[in-house]
Amino acid sequence: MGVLSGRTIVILEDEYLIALDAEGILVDMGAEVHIATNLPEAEKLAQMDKVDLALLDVNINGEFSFPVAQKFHERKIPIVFASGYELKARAFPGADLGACIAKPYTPERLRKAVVGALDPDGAGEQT
Amino acid sequence: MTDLVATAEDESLSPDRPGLGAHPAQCPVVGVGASAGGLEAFQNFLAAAPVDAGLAYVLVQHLDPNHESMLAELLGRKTRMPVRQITDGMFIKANHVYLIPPNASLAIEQAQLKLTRFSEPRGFRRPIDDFFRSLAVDQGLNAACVVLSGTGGDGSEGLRAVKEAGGLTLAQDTETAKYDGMPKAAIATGLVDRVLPPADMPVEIRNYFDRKEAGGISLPDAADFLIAACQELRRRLGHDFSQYKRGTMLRRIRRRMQVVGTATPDEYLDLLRTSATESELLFRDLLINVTCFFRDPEAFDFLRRETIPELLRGKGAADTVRIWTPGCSSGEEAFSLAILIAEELSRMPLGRPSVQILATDIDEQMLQRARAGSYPHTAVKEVPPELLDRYFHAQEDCYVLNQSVRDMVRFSNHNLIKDPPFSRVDMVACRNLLIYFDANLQQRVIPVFHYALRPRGWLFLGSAENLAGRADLFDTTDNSNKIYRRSGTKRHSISMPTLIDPLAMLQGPDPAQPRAQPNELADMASRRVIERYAPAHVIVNSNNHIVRSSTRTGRYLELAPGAPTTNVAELAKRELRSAVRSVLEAARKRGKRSIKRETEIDIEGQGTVLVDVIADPLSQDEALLVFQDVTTIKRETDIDDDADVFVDPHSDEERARLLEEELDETRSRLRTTVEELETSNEELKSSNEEMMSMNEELQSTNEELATVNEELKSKVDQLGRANSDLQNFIESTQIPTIFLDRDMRIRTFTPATTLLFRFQTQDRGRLLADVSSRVDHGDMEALGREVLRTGEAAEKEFALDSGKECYVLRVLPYRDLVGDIDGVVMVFSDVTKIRQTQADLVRNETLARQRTSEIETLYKTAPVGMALFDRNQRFLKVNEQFAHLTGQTMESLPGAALAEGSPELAERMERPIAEVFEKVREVSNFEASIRTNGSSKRDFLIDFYPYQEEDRVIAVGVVLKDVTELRHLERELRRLMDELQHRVKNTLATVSSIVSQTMNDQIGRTDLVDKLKSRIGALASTHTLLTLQDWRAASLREILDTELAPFDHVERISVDGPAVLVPPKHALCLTLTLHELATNASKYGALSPAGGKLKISWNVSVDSGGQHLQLSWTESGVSGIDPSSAKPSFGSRLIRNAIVHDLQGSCDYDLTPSGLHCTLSCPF
Repeated sequence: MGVLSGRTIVILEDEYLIALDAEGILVDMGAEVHIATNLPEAEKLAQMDKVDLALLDVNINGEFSFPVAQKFHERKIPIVFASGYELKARAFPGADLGACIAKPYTPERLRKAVVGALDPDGAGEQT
Repeated sequence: MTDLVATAEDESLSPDRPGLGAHPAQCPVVGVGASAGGLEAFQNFLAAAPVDAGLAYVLVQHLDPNHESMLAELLGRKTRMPVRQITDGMFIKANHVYLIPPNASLAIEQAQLKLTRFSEPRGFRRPIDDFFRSLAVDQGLNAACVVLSGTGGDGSEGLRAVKEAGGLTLAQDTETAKYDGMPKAAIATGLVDRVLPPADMPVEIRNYFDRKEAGGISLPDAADFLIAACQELRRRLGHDFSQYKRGTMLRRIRRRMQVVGTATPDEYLDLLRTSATESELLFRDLLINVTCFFRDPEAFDFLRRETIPELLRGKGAADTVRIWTPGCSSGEEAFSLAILIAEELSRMPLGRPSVQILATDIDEQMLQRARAGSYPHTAVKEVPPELLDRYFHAQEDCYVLNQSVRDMVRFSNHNLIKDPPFSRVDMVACRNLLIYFDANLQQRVIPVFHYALRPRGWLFLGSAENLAGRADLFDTTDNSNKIYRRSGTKRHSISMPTLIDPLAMLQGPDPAQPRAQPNELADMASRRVIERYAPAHVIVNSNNHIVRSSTRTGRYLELAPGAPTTNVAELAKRELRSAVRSVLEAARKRGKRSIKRETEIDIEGQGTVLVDVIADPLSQDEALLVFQDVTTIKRETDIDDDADVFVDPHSDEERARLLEEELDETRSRLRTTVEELETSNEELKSSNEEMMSMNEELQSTNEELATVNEELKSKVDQLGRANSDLQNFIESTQIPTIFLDRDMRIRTFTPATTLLFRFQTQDRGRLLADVSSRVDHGDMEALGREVLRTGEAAEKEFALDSGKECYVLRVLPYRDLVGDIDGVVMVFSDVTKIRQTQADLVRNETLARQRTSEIETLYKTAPVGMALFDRNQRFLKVNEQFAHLTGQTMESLPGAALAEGSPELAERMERPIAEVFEKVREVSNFEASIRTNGSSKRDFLIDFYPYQEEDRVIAVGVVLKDVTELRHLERELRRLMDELQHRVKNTLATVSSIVSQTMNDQIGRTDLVDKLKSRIGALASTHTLLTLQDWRAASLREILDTELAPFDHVERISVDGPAVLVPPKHALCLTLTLHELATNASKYGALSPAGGKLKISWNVSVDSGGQHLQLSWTESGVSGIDPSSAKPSFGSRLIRNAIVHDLQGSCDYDLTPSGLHCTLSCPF
């Protein structure tokens, strides 16, 4: 266990039950998880010393999360967008800052996306 | 070799008239004259005339002065040459035909045609002669003249002039001439070069002038040629032309050669040798114009000086000087003598003798010319000017001799050879006549002159003539001038056997023939006796005219002055006349022989002779009259006992008494008779003159009538053709037409009228109303009468067959040739199709107008901008909407360029407009975002379409839609779709989380399913509520009601709070929380079977942060709760955290033994 041991992951999700689910999955994988429910919270979390990955919902209370994604990207923190949209089909500015996972996701797909984002070269080596 | 081209100094054919042909036109001029029958002749002539012969033709016709001539029109069809009616001053041009106009005299002067009024009264006009004469003078050798069909003799005089001037003369063959009077008269002049049918003439004329044009005909040495020609003429005709002027001779021969078309002199000499006709013709040509005034001036001078004074010397008022000029021709010589005598007389004292010049010829035409005493200017050239002034008076175109001179000369038709000669004349002037006679005849004629002359009378011969060997009869007075005097006193009897013959002919065949011939010898003897020994006798008829005559009657008979007669009582010598009358009267009265004895007569050379005159009746009419010389036969009558009557039986006294009585009676009878005669003679003379002039007028009227008749005939032919054309037109036309007279009777109708009328051929002449018709007669006739009254055309339209056929009836006045209205013409036009088409047209027009109006309305009301641009990007048409975008008015734009109207629109639209013009293809859905008219940017969708006419783009239409709102809605829709997707996906993710979290609670399978169902059901019911409110909000109370409804014990619940609407996120979050609270309450709390109470209340407060909701969930009266034993479950975590997490709210969760007390608060 503990693929994500020692990793700190920020989750931006305004839906409590969804955040709860994601948190559960990532914690099970050994990560330390911080949850932001709105954009200002997420910006704050982006300033934390140690953040290894950001899992960002694209639509937060009707607003796009791309400006926050930019913050993480500046710190070269890998990003995984979670969205109901087909991001690739909708050329959102900023959508290319990270990987993408469609809602609703299964634990396995989330795990793959997160691991792939953390280790772009050797993703899935361990699995 | 001598070239015989005429030299300039001697151009004319007539050496005595060098002025002829002084103004030749640039082409030969052909004068053509015709009268009755002339139309046909002209037509034949012109039809055969080559159009490029280089000749000008001048046609002269006797035209009715009161009618326009149709001649030009009729002749113009026969030739391609221009045919012109002459106007005054016209110049002659080659290959043209000129026509004399009616009522004008035509002349040519200096190659210009001149018209003048006729100076002569109608009937005396000779337009052809007039023109030919001027043609001869003006054109000379350059002229030709043609005499065609006609009555009378117009043209021959002119032809003579043309011939004299050296022109070509032609006459129509009388066989081909409709009226041969004119050609015959022309031919009779003997001066016609060729007699031809009209169709052969033009080529002949052309050839003639071509030969002339070809230059001189080279003749061999002129003298040799002339001698040969003259010899030939002399051999054949006995005439010597060696005295003629050589140049004239040569030119006349050359002219003949031109006419007959011989190229070389030898050829011509051959022709002369072989053809008598040619010799004759040449002879005639040579004879032309040989007579003239004072011919041989020296001879006349001698006459004037010597002969005439002697002739008149000693003559008193009682004397008559008689001069005879046989062969006088046109009288020049006789008048020359008369003038000289008049001159001499004027020098004599009063009591002058009377002078009688007897001028005779056999050519009546010549005599007529002579009697007129009128001569052209050129003919009197030889007359010394002082004589010309004294004895001629000049008229417009001729000189006329004074009456005094003319009175002196009496012209009569007399044949020198055959007729009895005149007697007791003082001078015989016979010049240039003998040269025409052979020697034999000359020898017979000289004694005739001797007989006619008084003793010592003068004989005047022509310069080439002589006494023909009878020098015994005459003494020569002057040999060079050929003046002789009669020698001796003895009058030779001349035998004139031919004297009686022509007279006898007048009486018809001799009734005595044939008679029995006894023995030939005895017969000869009888004849010999009668000829030689019997007394002279004549046989006379009941009128005393000589029927037969014996020899030797010359002693008793002589020709009396005046017209020759055969009446023996007049022919007898004066002394015998009463004797002749009385014996003939007595013989007739008594039917017996009568004798008058011993009448004394003077016989020259014998003195007084006694003659018995015996009349012996032979039959009822004829009587024998015998003259018996008493001196030679001694009183034979004494024994002539059977003589019944002696006219002289009484004594001298008795006889004298009887004679005196008879004389008295006779005198008184004579006086009466003379008076009567004189009166009737005067009357006759004047009647005769009237008759003559009437006759001439009639003649010319007749000619004019014949001309008019021909023209009319030709016109009738044309009318016939026109009529036939008209008939064909009427038969073939498809237009129903009826011709009606003034009484509305049918004149004629076209076959097409049977569509409307039951016409039959026999209906012509019937009243229109009597013919059954599909058209209303009343209307037609009313219209017809109106047109008759007004003279204006009228129209009326009517329908037949209840409108299936439509006709327009057009009524026009029928005008006769003079323009009077003589009926009406009704024309029916079938306008059915036209009316239908008109109706269609009106319908289509209305339709088109509606369409146009629809389009206009569309333009006006359509919520799009529309405009039409031309190739220069100028507005043609624009609607309100479009104009509004440019900020201008709809009226100001058309004509303005797009760039002026709206630079912003132009920037985006000019390119596509140009493209449409270029590619002829529409450009649609062109999108543009444009800031127009100072407003904010708006989105437009623009269509450009070409407007074509005949494959060419003439304009581009623009339709401009403002899609700004549409675009906004589209964006909004997209946003909504995104939101929806987001929510659906989030809802699914939430459900997924509910499932996984619920499963974490590790409960029984049945419970698990129930829990999942109820949790997802709560979520679904809130979705339902939100959907009812369009996902804008949901009522808190309804959320509570829905959530609490499935549970039992509803009566334990109290709900209290204001009506409040919460946003969707709040609604969903509150639903999940309240659902867990209610589920727990039903299991363990107030809603469990154990019982308790639940109180739910809420309030909304407002502060600086916005609205705030506070809801409290308070359970009470619950038993059996152990707060410490409560396990943390998904439900309790959700209650405590969801509000905090999702709504940044708070949850105060306090579980007491009596029940749960939970307060939720959140901003919204």
